[in-house]
Parts: sequence; structure tokens; C-alpha cells
Amino acid sequence: MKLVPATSLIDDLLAEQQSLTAVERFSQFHSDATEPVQAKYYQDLIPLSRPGEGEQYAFEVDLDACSGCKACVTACHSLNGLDEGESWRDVGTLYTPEADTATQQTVTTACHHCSDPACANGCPTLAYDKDAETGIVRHLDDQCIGCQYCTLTCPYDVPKYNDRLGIVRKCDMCHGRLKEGEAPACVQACPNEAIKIRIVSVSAVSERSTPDTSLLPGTVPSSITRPTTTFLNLRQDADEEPAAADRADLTPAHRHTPLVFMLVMTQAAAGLLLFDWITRAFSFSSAPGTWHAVLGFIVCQVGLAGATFHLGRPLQGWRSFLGWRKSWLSREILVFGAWAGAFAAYLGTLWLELPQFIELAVGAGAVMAGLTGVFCSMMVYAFTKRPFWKLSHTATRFGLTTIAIGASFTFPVVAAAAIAAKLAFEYYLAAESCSPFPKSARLIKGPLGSVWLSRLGLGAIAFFCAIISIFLPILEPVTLLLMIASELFARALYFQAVEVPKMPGGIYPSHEHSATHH
Amino acid sequence: MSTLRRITEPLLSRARTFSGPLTEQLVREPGAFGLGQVPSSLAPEATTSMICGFCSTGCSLNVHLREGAATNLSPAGDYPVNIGMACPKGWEALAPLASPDRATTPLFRESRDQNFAPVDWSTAAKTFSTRMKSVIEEHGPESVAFLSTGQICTEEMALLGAFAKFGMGMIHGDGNTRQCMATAVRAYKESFGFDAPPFTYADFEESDMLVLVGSNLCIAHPIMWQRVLRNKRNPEIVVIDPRRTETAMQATRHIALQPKSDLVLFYGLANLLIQKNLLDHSFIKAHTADFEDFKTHVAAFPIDLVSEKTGISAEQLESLAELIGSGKRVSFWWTMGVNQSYEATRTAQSIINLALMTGNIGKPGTGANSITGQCNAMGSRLFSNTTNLLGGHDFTNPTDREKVASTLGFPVDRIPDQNSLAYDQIVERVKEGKIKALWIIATNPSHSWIGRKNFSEVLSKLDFLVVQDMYHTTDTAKAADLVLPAAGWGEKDGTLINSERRIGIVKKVAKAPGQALSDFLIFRLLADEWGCGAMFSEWNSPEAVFRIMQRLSKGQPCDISGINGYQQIDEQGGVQWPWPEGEASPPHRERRLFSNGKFFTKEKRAKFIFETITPDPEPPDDEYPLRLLTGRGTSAQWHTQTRTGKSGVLRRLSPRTNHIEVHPKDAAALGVNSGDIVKVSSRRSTIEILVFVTSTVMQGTVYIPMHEETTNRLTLAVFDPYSRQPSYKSCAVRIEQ
Repeated sequence: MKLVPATSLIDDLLAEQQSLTAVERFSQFHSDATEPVQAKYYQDLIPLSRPGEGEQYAFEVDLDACSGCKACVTACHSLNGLDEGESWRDVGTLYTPEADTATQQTVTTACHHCSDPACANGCPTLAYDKDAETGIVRHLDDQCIGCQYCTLTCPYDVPKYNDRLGIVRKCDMCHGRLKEGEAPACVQACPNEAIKIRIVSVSAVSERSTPDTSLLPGTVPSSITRPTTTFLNLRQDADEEPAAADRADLTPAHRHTPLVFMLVMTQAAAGLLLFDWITRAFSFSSAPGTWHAVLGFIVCQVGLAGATFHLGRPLQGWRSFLGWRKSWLSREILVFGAWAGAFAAYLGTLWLELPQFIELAVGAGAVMAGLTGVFCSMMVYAFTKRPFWKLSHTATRFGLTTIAIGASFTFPVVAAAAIAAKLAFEYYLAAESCSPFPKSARLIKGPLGSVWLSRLGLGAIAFFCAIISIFLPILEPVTLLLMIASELFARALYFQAVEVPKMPGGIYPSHEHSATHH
Repeated sequence: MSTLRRITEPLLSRARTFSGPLTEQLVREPGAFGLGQVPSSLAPEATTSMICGFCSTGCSLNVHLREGAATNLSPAGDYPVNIGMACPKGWEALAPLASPDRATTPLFRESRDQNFAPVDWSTAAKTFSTRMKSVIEEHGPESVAFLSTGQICTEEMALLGAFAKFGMGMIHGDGNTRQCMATAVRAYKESFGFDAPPFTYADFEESDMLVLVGSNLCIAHPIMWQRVLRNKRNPEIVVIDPRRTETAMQATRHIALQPKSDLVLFYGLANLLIQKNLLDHSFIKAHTADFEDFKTHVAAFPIDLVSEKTGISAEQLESLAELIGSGKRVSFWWTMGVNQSYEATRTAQSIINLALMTGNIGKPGTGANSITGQCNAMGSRLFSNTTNLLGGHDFTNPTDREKVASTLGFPVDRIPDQNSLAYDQIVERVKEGKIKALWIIATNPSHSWIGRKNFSEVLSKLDFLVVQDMYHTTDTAKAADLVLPAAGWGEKDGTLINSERRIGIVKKVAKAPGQALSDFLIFRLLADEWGCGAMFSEWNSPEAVFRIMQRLSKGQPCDISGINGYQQIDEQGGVQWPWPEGEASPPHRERRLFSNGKFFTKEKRAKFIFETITPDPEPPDDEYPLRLLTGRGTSAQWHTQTRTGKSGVLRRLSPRTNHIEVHPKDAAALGVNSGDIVKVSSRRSTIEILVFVTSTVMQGTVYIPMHEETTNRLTLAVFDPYSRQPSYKSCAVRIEQ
């Protein structure tokens, strides 16, 4: 027996579904609370006083208490109102891969609020502030231009780029909470009281941060940034050093495509300019027409323009000079900016057919600026202290790129020799048997295999093209294009095959919001 | 230089900005309501607390509300379960509601080769009714069945069970709780006379010795682990598990027994306790039955045999027995490692027997305690009208049928006098073509069912498949004829019952998307369309159904007739059953059963139940030399991930791909390394999977988490003969490159 027509019941049910009445129907608890209900659980986990002179706040993690529940990660996300998938804490695992009976420990980790923070030291815009009183390394979101350099300089993979905002964000140790005597979100949320805030002496941190010490097995020497976090109760097997569970994970690092493009193009332009000037200065018969310098200038402009695509907030790019006193990236930008002017001036001297000594003097300035810029580029990557990017290797790569592309029209023999040398060097680094960077070698042969083959193939053809163009100069433009294409692949490998230093991760970790993603 | 610095420094600092629109996005402010600081963008106008809808721990979450709707949540600060904490799933409980693949309208297709088309509720309800009726008319009431869940509210389960069986006339209906808790149900029923987990979580804190069997508490129930860590008695923590799990790492003693040797171990320990006379004779005499027979039975398990079968040294066995028999407070806790086996019921009972013979039951810090899986498996066990007649009654008992019929005001002939088929038997009947129409509610068997090489093929044999779910994208929903869009946890009212028998409230704090309706409202609509609206006129709100459940529970061990409505449950921090009428309110916050030594059997005695050990249905052999274990991957993943996969943070905390854990020696013999992709084959299927080499698994065994769809293509569909629970934990496989 139906009392009401079905349609009206459906309307009633849909209306009932949409009405929210929990507030009216149930009591509001703690409406007159004067302090957080959670305070009783965390009051022993944070210091009673503020840091004094020569002291700062630091995380202290008891590895034996951490059971891998990961509540800290989600609490950081929820209590700080972060974006979907964003959190400033991570959990990984250390284990003994070879032992008959495993030891494993889970590791909760966030920013180490380093005493000598590499994020701040590398930042071109001074977007990091190490608070004088608390030592908390804060990221100034409105100061950030989204260049992501800190995601390369931080050896713990802490700052994370936020696509929606075009800036980086990171842990601020919930400084506002600490100020009010509240515990940071992660400290509040740990069911096992594994995370504490302690006051540490900055000089003690400096003393313990030697080149032979690291926070945990598999992490970088603490001397690089002097991290303040303390990990207690690491389980050490007598025979075997624990390893991160993601140690064998072969996920290529971020490609940073605009940087790949910018580096190859600026080096190409610096090289073209260098050899242009040499042929003029020493009156080589191979001295090309003015078009050669114009071509160099165009390549330079295209490269510099390409770099802006790497910025999350290109309109704020003007701030990038602010960090020049410490940041090689800031210096690189300043020098390349000046170089563009000097290069234009050199073109002007050629255009106006000024006396040769003026041409050569202005040209020498431009060449110096260009090479200084390339040197700054080298330092930008060497500064990260990533072994794969060490100065000698980076200088070899960037230097040979400059020569190989730059000499395409003027000295094909030199170009061919440079590309051959570079291919040999890269081949050595990619050979698992002899490479000083076995993980990079595995990445190159494994997931980056197609990039590597493209690089080798194009490089070989560019080499032969350069040789043939000695006798058949009409091939020179083809050489140039092949050299550039081949070097773009090589530079992509430079970025993607690098082993990203980081804290221990989990088993085949997801790479959402991580520096190591495609 | 210093002059330059003096000039530039102020300029530089002026060019730095500490505030602005981007900085403002993350400003925090005092949240009031005892919350501490919260993100300003999400600061609440009110808060209300409710029970988490993932696992059976039953944590209370404090939902932050604006205009009555949830914007954020944090763990409740003073609930007797979680004590201010939550695991990642709890923290992210709201995220799955906002997923773009929510079902927002009923979907229907005339035939399975067509795409779904949205239909209105009226059409959906009519289609449901006509198609189901036509199958019943043609093939009889046994040709339709439902598969329900441990994930919806008790009131919804009760309405579903009552409507399906008393209204539609179905005989067969079961829940996915068969996959997790059926063993504990059966073991308790036989041993104690009622499905009655005896403990309260305070027992974690009050034990001198905790024995965790087949339970990775740290990962599967992190908040229960929190309670273990609050134990101030410096307890011995024994983990019995073939894997060196996170929990095993935290234990004071890890008993890494050979897989599937647990029953031998417990019979052997019982024998040792008897030999060493470490028994509570007065308890055995006063409160148990069949001990003498049990004694004879376990005499066949001498220490050498046990040591050989389990791989545990005689010294370790002796020392373990001495600890258990020390007279201190010993509590036993088991979960899926025990429940999901081909001889699970007897294994669970072998643990119960150890507690009984040492008198470790009914006292603080003791008990033979089954840790439940799903958030409302315990509600399902009492009120889903599947295995039991509503309220823990018996379909085959005429007195029970009469009692239930008169309590509900239904004619007694509406109540089936036979038990339902179990899940596996329902699946078998579908395969045989005997069950023609199936209604699946809030579960995803196309992913979770055991040994399911081609579960979709099985489903394709059905004339009519209805799937009621939050998402239209589950593997099961994709196979349906009719999809009914359900509101999820947080979008409806009702109660859940946790592991320690605590009834807690869930509340409607979010608007369901589109036309989605709560399962409760869907059942009401379908009942009305079926023509039995009047029969269920009293069942018009979750709280009304709760009152019906209270009436049904009267006189049962699970009597809850003394609870004064949802308000009291909310204010008391949940109420554990039993709470019969006439008890002095308010109930104590932590209560355990059997403190008087009286059990629910006719003789009021607990029974020692035991049996001959059955052979392993698929031991490793030359062809398939490795033993595959399956289980939970991380604390951020829930079952088939239909919900946890919707949260960015939880995805980030889960492995990005399925993987197999292999012992270093096996890996060396096979010539495989971490990062290699290998083929893993069982007699059912072959899958491709990444290797992770680790000695957390013992030599000869491998482990694959259960959360990816591929895992259950390999598992072996065998079942415990008493509980019909699938044996997910062991089958034979081989690895090839």
C-alpha cells in the first residue's frame, strides 16, 4: 500500500540527503576551551622556553618509537591546509638488504632547519629566512619566483615545487604554533611520541657535522648544510650498514626541460662568439661573415628567453639579482644579462664596421662575459655537491658543449674532436662496470635508455658530419643542428641520470610531489 | 666593502617580502573548540565528532564544520579509543568524498556491451524491482542474493537484511566480512556460546605480556599500537608471524614460525603448559568444559615435533610456555594471519584454549582477543541478518524466529527458516548459473575475491547485477547492469561497532554529490517500490532503526536496550555492548566480558575445542617452490583502495606499484635483484611484478600486498570448513625472469 506517490518520496529522500543537521542535533564539545585539548599529550614533547643566544629549535626523532604509521605526514597536510597531495613530512624505511634476518626501521623526516641551509645559500631571491631567534628556516612564499633551484641544492629533497602556485613551499616547523606553546602538527599527531622539538646548541651542531658524519645511512655528509635534526636509536647491524628501501628504485630525476634548453643554447652561443672572435683576432682564413655573430646572438637570446619558462612566476624574475652575494644562480643571471648587452655591443661594432681594435676589444669583453656566464652555470650545479655534477665533470661537459657547437662553422676539426671527447667521457660514465656513479649508469641504461641511444646516435652523426664538413663546408649548418640536438639529449641525461640525494624513502615510493618524477 | 654592505643591506632587506597573497594561503589562527591553531582558510564555526569509517579500531574524528559542512578534521582529543590520535586514513577520511569519479546518478544499461546511461531514481527503483521480481518468479527465491559489506552503518545493514530477506523474500545474502571476520565469529560462538570478543582496549595497557598472532598492528591498526605503547607495566611483547613486520621489529620477542604451522605451535604450547603444570586449575574446573579431552589431544604434540614443524627452537618454545604460564596478565590478540586460513577456526580456538587454561580471561590485561578488520564488521556480525538472524539470533531456531517476528511486528512466515549460503557458495552458485541476480553493496569482489582469475566472467553469467557504491569506477561497478549511487561515510547518520564492542556514531557532515543517496535511503526507496513500504514504515530514520535494534537485542548477550539514543552514545564517548536496560547510567568507559567467569553457552562454561590438523592444501613443491603470503602493504592503504586511492597524500604514502618481497638467498638463486620485473605464477594465473629483495620474508616465502588487483589472481580459493573464510595467506608460486 503506497501512501504517497513514488516521485514525492524520491524528492523527500533527496532533500533529506542534502540537509546537514549534525550541528543542531549534537552537543558542541569544548566550546569554552581556553587551551588545545591535545596539549596534555604534547606538552612534554616541546621545550618550555624559547632558544637562547647560540641556540635554535630542532626536530628530534626516536627511530625506535616510529612504527611507520605516517600519521605525521597527513597531519602536516591537514593542520597546515596544504594542497592535495602536499605534505612537508615524509616517511621512509631503512633495512638491511642482505642479512639473514632483517632489521628495518621506519624514518619520519621533514626539513632539518640546517645551521648552514643550502636552500638559502643558493636562493637567487633571498626567499629563505633563517630566523635569528628560533633558527627555523622559513620560506618566504611571496619572495619566491619559482626557479626551483632550492629543490636542487637541498641535499635532503625538502623544498617541493607547487605547480598551482608556481612557487616552492616547505616545512616552517609550525613556527606560529611553537610561539603559542603549541606543538607542530607532526609532533601533535604522532601516536608514539616519536617526534619532539628540542633546543640545540648551534656550535654543537657545527661540531658534530663533519665530512664523515651523516644524519642516517645513505644521506649526504652533514658538513654540507649542518642539519639540526637528531635521529636517536638507529639500529646498527654489526655486519651490514642499513640502506634506504628506495635505494634500488630507478626513477629518473626531473628533466627541467627549460634549463636543458637554456644551458645548451647559452653554451652554444658562448662558443660561437668565442670562435667568431678568435677567427677575427687571429685573422684566420676561416673567419665567417657577420651572420655568424648574428647567429650566435640569436641563439643566446633564444636560450635566455627559454630560461624564463623555468620560472613559476616569471614576472617576479627581477628579484633574482638579490642573492648575488651567495647565489651562483643569481650571479649566472646577472652575468648572462650583462653578456646579452655586451654581445649586442659587439654586433654593433661589426655592423658599424668600427676599427678592428674596437671590434676586438668589445668582442673580448663579450667573450669574457659569455665564458664567465658559462662558468657561473658550472658553479650553479657544482654548488649542489651532487657527485654526478661535481665541478670537474660539469666543467668538462659544459666546456666541451661550448667548443663542439661553437666551432661547428669555424673549426670543424675542433668541433669533431670536442664531440668525440665528450661522447667518450659520457660513455665511460654510463658504463656500469667502470662508472664512478653506478646508479646513474643504471638509470642511463635502464629507464633513460632511449634518451641515451638518441644522444649516442645523434652525437656520432654530428661527429661524422663535422669531419665531412671540413671538405664540404655546405654541411656546416647541418653539423650545428645535429650538435645542438645531440647536446640537448646529453643535457637531459645530465639532469635525469643524477642521483638525487635525499632522506630514506619507502619501497617503490610514489613520486607525487617529489623532485624525482618524470 | 663594509661601506657597500652598509648601503646595500637595508635595500636588499626592503626588497624581501615576508607577506602577501601567497603567504596568506598558509596563515594559521586559533581554531577555538579546543583545537589549537588551524589553517585560517579552513577555520571552523563548529565541530562535531564521529567515528572513522575505515577500520575497526573505531577512532573518533573531530570534524571541523563551516555552515554545517565538513572542511577539515583532526582526531578527537579525549575519546576512550584513540586518545587524540588517528592513522593517515583517518586524517584523510574526508578526501575520498570529493573524488571526481563519485557516482552521482543511477546508471543503467540494457545489455553489457552497451555503455551506461544515467537514469533517474524512479526508473532505477522500478528497474531494480521488476528485474529482481521477474528472476524470483521464474527461478524461485534462491535465485537472487546480495553481497554486503562491513563498511556501512549498522542501521543500514539491518534495513538491508530485513528488506532483502523479510521483504523481498531472499534466502541468501552474505557480506565481505566473510573475508575478514567469519573465523572469529565461528570460533567465539563455539567456544563462548556467542560471538563475543571479550576485551576492551585498556587491556593493551594493562597486560604484562601481549601475544600478537598474525597481526601487524603497527601498520594495520596503528592506534591500537598507540595503546600498547601506553602500557606502563614494561610488558613482554611477543609477535608470532612468519614475516619480520614493523610490529615484529617493535616486539621484545619475534617468533618467526614457518607459515601454516600456527596450529601445531599452539597445541604444542598447550601441551607444554600441561607438562609444566602452568595451569589455572580452579578456573578450568569452575568455568570450562572438555579440558580432559583437550589434554589427550595435545599430548600428541611433543616439543620436538613442534620444534621441527614450526622451525622454533625447543628452548624458545619452553621459554614462551613459561612466560604464558607465569601467572601474570597475558593477553592474546589475533587478526588476519589467523582468520584467513584453511583451518582458521580451530587455530583461533587454539589461542582461546591457551587463555582458558591459564585463566587469562575476564581480568584486566588478559583475553583471547580477535582484532576486527572493517569499521563495522562487528555491526554486521550482529545485525546484518546474513549469518545470524537479526540481533545474534538463529534462523533455524523457531523460538528465535517467533521472537524476532513479534518484536518487528512481521508475520513469522516472512522469516526464512534456513541459513544463508556463505559468500563462496554464493559465488559458486553464480558460476553454476543457479543464482541469476546479485545485488552488491559497498564492496569490490572483482578485486578482492580470492583466486579470482576471471571474476568478471563469473559476474557475466548473471541475468541482473546491481552494484551500489560511492564510485562508478570500481572493478565491480564496471561489470554491473544497474549502478546505484551511494552517499559515503560522512554523508549519513548511523552507528558503527568497533573491535571492543563499542557503538559509536557517524554523522552527516557533507552533502552527497548529485543524486547520490545514503544506503539507508536507497533501501527505503527500494522497499517502497517493491511494495513493502508499509512493512517498514517504522524504519524511517537511522535512529528509529537503532531503537528497533535495541528491542531485538533484549535478553541477548549483546543487549543494548539501556542506551538512551544517539545523544548518549555521542556524549559518553561510545557505549560498549552489552548495556541492558536498568543498568545505572552512565556506563563505565572501558568494560570487558566474562569477569564473573560465566560464558554464554548453555552450561555457562567455555569449551575447549580442537581437532586433528588438516594437510596444507597447496604446499610448495618442485613446480611451484615458493610460498606466497599476502596482506596489508602500508597504513595508508585500505583494501582495494577505492577510497584511499582518492587521496593525494595517501597515494603518496603508498608504493606506486605492486611488488613482491623475496628473500636475498632466493633472489640470488633466481638471479633477480630489486627493481627487476619478474613473472610470478601460481596454478591459477601469472602476473608481472617488481621485485623487492628483503629478508623480512623468510627463505622459501614471498610476500605481495593485497591492494593491487593482480594479487588475488594468484591466491588459492580454499576455505575454512567452519567459517567459510577464504585462505588468503598461503599458496604455492614460482618466479621466472
